[in-house]
Amino acid sequence: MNELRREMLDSSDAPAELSPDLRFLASRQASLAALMLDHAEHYKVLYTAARESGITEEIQTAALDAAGNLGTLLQSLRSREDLQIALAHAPGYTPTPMLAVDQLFFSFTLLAGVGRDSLDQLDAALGLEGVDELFRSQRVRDWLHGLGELAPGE
Amino acid sequence: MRLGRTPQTAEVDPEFAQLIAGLYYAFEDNLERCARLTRLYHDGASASELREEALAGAKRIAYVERVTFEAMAHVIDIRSLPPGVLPMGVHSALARLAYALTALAEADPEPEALLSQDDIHGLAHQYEIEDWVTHLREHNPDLKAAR
Repeated sequence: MNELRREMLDSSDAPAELSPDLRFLASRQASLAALMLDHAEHYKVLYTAARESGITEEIQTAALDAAGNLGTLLQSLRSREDLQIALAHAPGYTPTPMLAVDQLFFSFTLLAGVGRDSLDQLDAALGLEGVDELFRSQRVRDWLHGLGELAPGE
Repeated sequence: MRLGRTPQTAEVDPEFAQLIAGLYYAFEDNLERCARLTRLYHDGASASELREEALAGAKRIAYVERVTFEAMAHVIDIRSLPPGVLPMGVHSALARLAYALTALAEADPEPEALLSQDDIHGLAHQYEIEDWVTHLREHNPDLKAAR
């Protein structure tokens, strides 16, 4: 396992007073929020390079690695969707916007798998404006605020 | 179906019905693909043997999910869809197959990203899409005959 994924899946920094289930959820959500912010910028760089200079092996390798990072956390979180459902109406709890994060994962996957001579396949992936639109969604903003990844008013 | 057009329901928009069929085929095909490639992975197949097909499967799910997401965000009023036409669980089940297939395309997949055979075969039940799968399967004579 690479170093980043080892850190992402490490729950040891979650508050000790929480139950094991809540420690799991808190840790995975915090990792996913940080990863989403980081990988959105990473995606924009790779997408722009692909559009401007064409697909290269380096772009595809980086895109597959990024999709793997997101997929690892998303799979882990979805394996315990029962927890999110149980907490859905708990005060102060904002569910993970899985569908929104999935769009970034799917776009990296398209970038990783697109043919070198068929860039039009990228038309289904998020464009730069599409990525920004995800972060303007109230559900994503509330989630990031709740996890301390966005300052109030940001 | 064009972005920015007046919202339509699935009943009057055959192109959205085609998208739903695309989701169904992506689910059926990749359920089998994910089970087979996972078995091969555990049997010791190398990454190079799995990569191309795993990535092709993940890419197909990614494509149909992205197009559907944009249609639901900009064209179709999902509140107007008849019950059961497109259960939300379909997206979860397809996403989980795509995460696993992406992992199988990697040289050193993270075990937590993979699905077990029980996970794979339990997806339709877990996400309460058994009726959806059965209905679409029954409306596809080719698939019905093949089973």
